[in-house]
This record gives sequence, C-alpha cells and structure tokens, in this order.
Amino acid sequence: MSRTTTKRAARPAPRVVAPSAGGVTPAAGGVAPAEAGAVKPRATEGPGKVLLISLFHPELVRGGAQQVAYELFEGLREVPGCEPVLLAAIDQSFPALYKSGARITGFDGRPNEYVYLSAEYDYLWHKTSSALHLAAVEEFLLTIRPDVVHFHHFLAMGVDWLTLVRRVLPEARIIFTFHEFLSICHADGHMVRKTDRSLCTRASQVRCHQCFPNLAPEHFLLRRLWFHRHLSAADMYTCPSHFMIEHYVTFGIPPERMRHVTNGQRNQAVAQAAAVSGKPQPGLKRRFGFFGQFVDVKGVRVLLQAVALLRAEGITGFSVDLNGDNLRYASEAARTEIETFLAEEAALPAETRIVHNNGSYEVSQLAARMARVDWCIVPSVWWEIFGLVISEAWMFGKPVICSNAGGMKERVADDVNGLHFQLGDAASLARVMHRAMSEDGLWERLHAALPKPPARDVMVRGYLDAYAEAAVARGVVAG
Amino acid sequence: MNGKAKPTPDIDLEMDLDPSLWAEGLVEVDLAVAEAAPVAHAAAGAAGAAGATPEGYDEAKYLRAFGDVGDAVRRGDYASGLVHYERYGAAENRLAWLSYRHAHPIRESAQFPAHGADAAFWTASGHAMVIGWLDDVAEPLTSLSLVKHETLLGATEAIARCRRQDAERAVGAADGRLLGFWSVFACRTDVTPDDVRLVLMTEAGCKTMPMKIQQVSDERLREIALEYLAHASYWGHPQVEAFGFLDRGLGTALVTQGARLAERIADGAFCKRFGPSRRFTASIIVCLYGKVEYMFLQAALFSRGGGFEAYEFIYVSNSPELAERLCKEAELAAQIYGVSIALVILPGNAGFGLANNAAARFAQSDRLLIVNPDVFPRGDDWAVAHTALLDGKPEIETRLFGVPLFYDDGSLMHAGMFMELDEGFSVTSTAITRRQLARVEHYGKGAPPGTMALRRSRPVPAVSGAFMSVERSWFERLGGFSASFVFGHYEDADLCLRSLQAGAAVYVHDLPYWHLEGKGSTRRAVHEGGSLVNRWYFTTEWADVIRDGMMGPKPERLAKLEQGVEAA
Repeated sequence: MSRTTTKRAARPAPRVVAPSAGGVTPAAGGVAPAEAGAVKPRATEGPGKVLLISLFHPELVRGGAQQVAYELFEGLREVPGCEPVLLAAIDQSFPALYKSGARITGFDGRPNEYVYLSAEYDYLWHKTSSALHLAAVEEFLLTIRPDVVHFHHFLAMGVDWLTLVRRVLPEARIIFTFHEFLSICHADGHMVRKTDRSLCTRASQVRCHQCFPNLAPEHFLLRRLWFHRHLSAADMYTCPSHFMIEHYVTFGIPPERMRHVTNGQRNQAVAQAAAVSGKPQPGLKRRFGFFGQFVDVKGVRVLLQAVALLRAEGITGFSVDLNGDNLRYASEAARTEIETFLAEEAALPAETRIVHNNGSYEVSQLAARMARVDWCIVPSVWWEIFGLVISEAWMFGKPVICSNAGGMKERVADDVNGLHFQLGDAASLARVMHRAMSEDGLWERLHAALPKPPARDVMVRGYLDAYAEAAVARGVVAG
Repeated sequence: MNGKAKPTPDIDLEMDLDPSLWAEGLVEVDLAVAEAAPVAHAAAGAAGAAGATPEGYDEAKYLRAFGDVGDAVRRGDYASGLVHYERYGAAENRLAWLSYRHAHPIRESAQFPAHGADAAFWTASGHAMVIGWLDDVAEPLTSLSLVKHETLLGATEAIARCRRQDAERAVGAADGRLLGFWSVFACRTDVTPDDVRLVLMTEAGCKTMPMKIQQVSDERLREIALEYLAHASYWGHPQVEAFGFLDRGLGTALVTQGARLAERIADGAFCKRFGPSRRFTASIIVCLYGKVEYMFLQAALFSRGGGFEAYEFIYVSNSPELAERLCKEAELAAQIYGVSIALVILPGNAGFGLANNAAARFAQSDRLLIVNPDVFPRGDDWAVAHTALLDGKPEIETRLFGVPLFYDDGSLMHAGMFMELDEGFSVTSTAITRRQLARVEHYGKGAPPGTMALRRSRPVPAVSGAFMSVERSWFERLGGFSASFVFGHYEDADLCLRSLQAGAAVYVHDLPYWHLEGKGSTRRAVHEGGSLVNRWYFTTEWADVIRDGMMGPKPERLAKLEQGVEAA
C-alpha cells in the first residue's frame, strides 16, 4: 500500500493568520489557528494532513459521532506521516464561543482543533445560507490544505460542503462516514416511520410524504437528488455497521466505494475498565442500568413501561439505574411520561423504589456507574447504528439486553453474549428482564462469552485503509 | 358602441386621443368650451333657419362628450356643436355613443331597479374597476360610468355579469339571472377620484349614486380583477359564460391593462452577475416566483456533469421581495459550484413571458434555454448531450425545440403539446350559448418512461415553456413571448405557433429532464383568473389556425414534416 502522492498541483503558499499573544483573533471572516505552529510542514509519508469534520466537539456535546471523530483525531496523531486537524461545528447553544466577526476559531488553545461557528443553517436542505461562512470555510481549506478531508457529519455545516471541498481542493481525498441515516431520512435520520413508529427500510417519494404530509412527494425526489449530488463528491464512504451499508446502497451509494469501518475506543473508559479486576460475585443478577441520552429514540419510556409491568405483576426486588441526560431534547409526550414516572417513583418509600435516576455523567464516572449494575439495557426504538454503550458495557463485563434491530442486533448475539427483546415492546422487555434476574447461570454464561469491543487502533487502521483506497480511486497514487 | 371611432375629418387630428380611451368610448371634455356652449348654440340657431334641435341633442352634453368638437368650435371652425352634429355627428349616430350618453347632464330615471354599488378602484395610470349588482331583468344594464361633478372620468359597455347570491336573496330572485356586474375600463388620470358618482345606464333609464373610490396600484387592480374573474360564478357553464363577457370587451381591457403593467415592470429590470462572466454556448433562463430554493437546487443539479462550464444561468425574479435572499443564494451557488449566474430583479410580477424576455436581454450567448425552476436534468451528461444535439441536428430542427419531461414518479409528463378546440355549451334558463375553447394537451402525460414513440425526435405543434431551447436570434425575431398573456400559461404554445407561422416548426428531441410540475412557484386564485384570460386570448388568436390543419395529436400541417423525420 503506497501512500506517496504522485500528483500535486503547484499551490500558493498557505495563508495562515499569524497567531496573536494569548490566543487567536481571526481577521473578520478569516481562519485562525489555535496556536502558533498549528500548520506544520506537509508529511511525506502516511496519509498526510487529514481534516476531520465533526458535528460538535465531544467535550461540548456528548454523542457517538463526535466521540468517534475525536477518538480518530487522537489516534491519527500517533500515525507517522499523519497530521490530523479537527474542525467541529457548534451552534448557538454555546454563545460564549462565538467571537465577533469570526466564523471559524480555535478551540480552547489546543493545537489543530477548530470550531466552526454555525449560522444561518437550513435544516430542510442541510446547507448554510451564509456566503460569509462559506467564504471562511473556503479560506480555511486553502489555509490548512488537507490531503484528506474526512466528514463525520454535515449537520450544522451543510452537505454542500462536500462539493465545495471538491471544487476548492480538487486533489483532496474525501471520505464520508455515515453515523446515522440523515442523508436518507428527513425524520432526523432515524428511519422510523412517523405514521406508526415502525422501522423504515427505504425512502421513497410517497413513503416520505406519508411521514411529512406537508411536504409534497416531489420534495423527496429533490432531496434525494440533492444529497446524491453532494455525496457523490466523496471518494469513499464508510459505515460502522454492516446493516447500514445495505440501507445506503439501496439509497444509491455505489457499493464498490463503501467500506465497513468499526467504531473503536481508547478513551478513559477503556483505562478504567482495564483497572477493574476480580471475578464477579456469584448469585442472581438483579441490577439493570441504562446509559445514554433520554431522547425518544433511545427508548427510556419502553424501559420504564417494562418496570411498571413487572411491578404490576408483583415482581420487585430488582433495580434500574438511569444514567444520562438531554431529557430536554425529548418530545413533550416522552418528557412528560418520564418526568411523571420519576416523580411518582421518588414519592415511594425508599425500600420500594426500583428506578433511580443518577443523572448525567462524565466518562471519568463511568466505572463507578457501571459498578452499580449487572446488565446494561439498550432499549432504542430506532436502528441504533453502532451503540457505543454496548462497547462500554462489554468493557466493564456487563451483558447487554437490547432491542432486536440494527446495530444492536448485529453486535449482540441473542442468548450467546446478551439478550434481545422485541423493539419497542415493553412486555417483551419485561419478560426478558424477568428471565435475566431469575435464571440461574444465565448472566455467567453470557458474561463468559462477551466479545472484546473494538479498539481505537482497529478503527484507525480501517480508516487509513479507506484513505489509501481513496487515493487510488482518485489517481493520487498508483494502485 | 365599442369599436374604435374615427375622428371627424375636419377636426384637427392632433386632438386624437389615446387609442385606449377611444376603445372604451371615452373622450376628454373641454369644460371651457362646454361652458361657452350656449353662445355657440345660439349662433347655430341663428344660422339654421329650421331652428329645431334634433331629438335627444343637448349642446352642452355634445361638447362635453366630444372634446375635439369643442376645440373646433372654440377655434371657430364650427359655429356650434350642433353644426358639427348636423354635418357629421348625425350620420355617425353620435348621440348613441357611450361618451355622449354618459356626458353631463345625465337625466336620472324616477324609477330604477334595485341595485347596489359595492366597490370601485382606480389606478394612477388610468384604469378603474367597478363592482356592484342590479336587478335588471326588465331593462338590462347597457353601460356604466364614473363621473365627478360634470366631468366624465370613464365609461364602459364592456360589463361582465355574474351570480350574486346575496343580491338574489335580497330581491328574491333565483331564476337564472346574473345580478352581479363588474368591469375594468380606462379612465382619466388628471382628476382626483374623490366625490365621484357611479352612473348605471339601462335600456330604459339611468341612475347615479355616490361611489367611494379606492386608489390602488396597477398590480393590485390586476389582482382584484383576476381574482374576481376566478371566483365569479354563473348559472351556466363557467368558462363559456366567462368567455362571453371577455368577448364583449372585458378581455381586451384585462389584456391591455395587464400588458401595459407587465411591460412597465419588465422595463425596470436590474441585473447583477455572480461568478465568471464571458461568452457561453447557451444561457439557461429561469423565471422565479415566490420560491428561492429552486435556484440552489438547480445550480447544484445542473452543474453536476461535465460541459456545464459552457452554460450560464440567468434567474429572473417576479418576486421583488425575494431579491436579497436570491442575491445570497446566487453568491453561494457561485462559490460552491463555480457557476455563472446573472440575477435579474424585476420591480414586480411581469409574468412568465415578459420576465423571460427581459432576462434574454442579458444573455451572454446565442442560445436560450427557457427552463422552469422545477425542471432538473435526469442525467449528469445533459450539457454535453444538449451541445451535441445542437451540433448534430439540422439547424431548422433545433431552432426551437423541447424535450421529454418526467414526473417525480418516473412517468412521462410531456413530450410535446398539441391543440384541440372544444365546443362548449352553456345552458341557462334564458339561452343556450356555444363557444369554442382552445385546449392545449401534452403528448404522453403519465405514459411509461420508455415510450420511445413519444420521446423520439419529431416535429410537434408546440412544446412546454417548462423547457425550451431556442436560437436567440429566432427568439428575438419572433419578438419573444407575447405581452398579452397574463402571468403564465398559453404563451409557450403561442410562441410555438408563431414560430411555425414564421417558417420553423418546433421539435422534441430526446433529452430527458424531471419536471415537478407546478412545484416551482406558488399559485393563487389570481393566477387561475389569469389562466382563464389567457385561454380566452389564445382561443381568440389561434382558433382559426388550429382549425385549419393544426388540430389534434396528428395535425395535417405537420404530417409531411414528420414523414421526413421518419424517412431520415
């Protein structure tokens, strides 16, 4: 595998805004590196300069896509001949980070980390409506001059950035990693039908119109053409799950340019998990835990409904720990139901409470939270692309009980290293929980079969291969 | 009296008035002469031994009605208006002219049928609209006017009628009568429209009543009139009934008002360019109305394939309120796609035809592609294919051509257009009316996408304005789109028939495009009214030609041409 670039047009000298003392103050609309020396000499080996484009910075907003992008950013730093640069979009949720007149700035004084200060974003067509922002992006690209531009999202930036990158940097390799189905599905990329909450398998003009009656069928033809137009600027596409590939190939992504690259982790959680020692205590395992966001698709309601069913059947003596936040982003109906349940639960005598809401947590707290449970429940009511929480559960030796669809079904083998229940079905989950807490030896059998979650290095190698294949595809290197 | 009246030969021709005023039977009144009329009349009386004033003749009224006569009397060309009347006016039956009948003084009838004056509008450019109702079964309404003191502001016999259910309830009539009336007509611009009275004249009498005039813009008046037309209801067949009233002068008034307004708007075009500016192979002209997003969608999808560098976009906007957003989107499109965009902003809605004409003036090429905003190429190679077609086909077959258009579901939406003449009947309690109505149909609507019999290159009567590729010089020689069509509809078929009449049949060639018909702009009742006027105008203009060998999907006039294509 050769990574030597063979075609490189003469380029003007990068325009880098000189760093100022004590931080960065970009010229109006310009690009400011985070600190002096951010733009290093071009690497002659390895993939060269890799610009990772991410939705949010994981230290600002938690989420799988940005966590994976940042893991990759850290991993690529250790690759010889590779200089990763991170550009993470943020929105007006962080007004303090918006600097007057700036569209891209550094991030917290860190080398090669930038934030894009999103504005005038069109959520219908997923594009920016600000010519000034686009000009800043163009200047940023010409300043950084990456060899590889790796998109981990387009939200808050614009799917048309891919076309812009192709025009501004015609020789750059463009990689796009899908972390959900937003390119296919207008319903927040979940591919869950709004008509009956069932999982959707394909987009079409009429089916999408049924989910959004206020949008004509023709809108969805245009939406598909629009996304195809811009996604076609990429040289290579990756998905962290195999089942996703089927959806995207059905959508029109050429299968020969699609690769599976797993999500991998080597963050604090891994280190904490490694530090956990000792054999599990014998006996029935009656402690369940939920880790994640309290948004609708994560299925917290299904879990609480299952608890209610078990309690109604007189089955108690178990616990459910909720760990997470972002309930504010849930629908009003879901928020009301969850808040009501938790309020009623809190009003019960302490000894009869089953559900405990531990609230938000940092990665550094994960080990302590995981220590309080035996099982991790992943009750998502959408496809759940990969489920980083599954990896985290496995790191801490916790078998997973999950919905029987998508990335969950793909990763967790039912009755081998975890348990499935019918997606969205509280009664099904209740039955499985009852089995999990009452069947002798079950936990131990599943625990013994837990796979080792993919490491960050595996992921990094996967992406390096994708970059190399993209180079061949573009004719940047000999095949 | 609705035709154009010829001025009397003896009268100074420089006094001839605006033809539109003549068309409406309206002439200006010289009040000074009118005041002096008794003296002149006395002189006339002294001169004419017979002395008897003709029945119905009123000297002051005559001089008010015919300002040119008044001037002639003042100059001494005639001793009085009566002398002019006896020499010319009687033979011309001037006492029956609208301007005479509505000139001051008007004698009101003691008895007049139940009536109501609802609204009147006036524009500074000289158009008025009046809406009301009249229970005139016994003595039908023949004309109406607006007067201010002794000055006639405007009068018309081109009165449309429609159902007024509120009036029907008020007078207890539900017997097939059309009680509502409305009209659009020319009026004076040099008199402020306050203290105005409406004059209704029937075959038997006359009634004047105070009328509050609302001053509105020309665009607003067009909207009000076309919406009123769209919403009007009748006892019989709606289109046949409406066509009848349009035939009787209202159509001409609406077309004239619309054309003048559209021309004035188009004259105000302002152009701003984005991206590279040079000579191109062709210019894609897109007329926008009400929606912005189609600009960036087209820029994205047209620029995807190779060969697009030879094409420029010209977006012309009939929505001035979108100007700022369109500028932003044009700038973004130039940044992202590197396309050339000329953005032509109009100060109002000039309609599809004149907006395209205005845009064509800014083209930097010799080939125009008239493209709707909701049209998108089906293949990435559209530009190469279009250029190759221009190079490979005989010039006469590419002078003006269209393409197969497809719905979002993949079925055929258009593969050329043909015309039919429908025989419309309107049956009411009082009459059966027949009227021909031209209809423009698409070949292949809903057909399977692979229907090559429809997609193949061939001459057709017309092609949709959703996509037309036309040699610029030919477009200009034809005078572009006609100004006589309001907003949109039928001007494409009109252009194609004019091309055929001028010697170049239009063709369809197999370059496939999506057409999300009707999704590229917002459509309201006012546009339905415009379509009705357009259909009436198209029928009026082309019925004879259609009947003479251009009717149906296989018109005789194209048969020979098509045989030539098949042989080739």
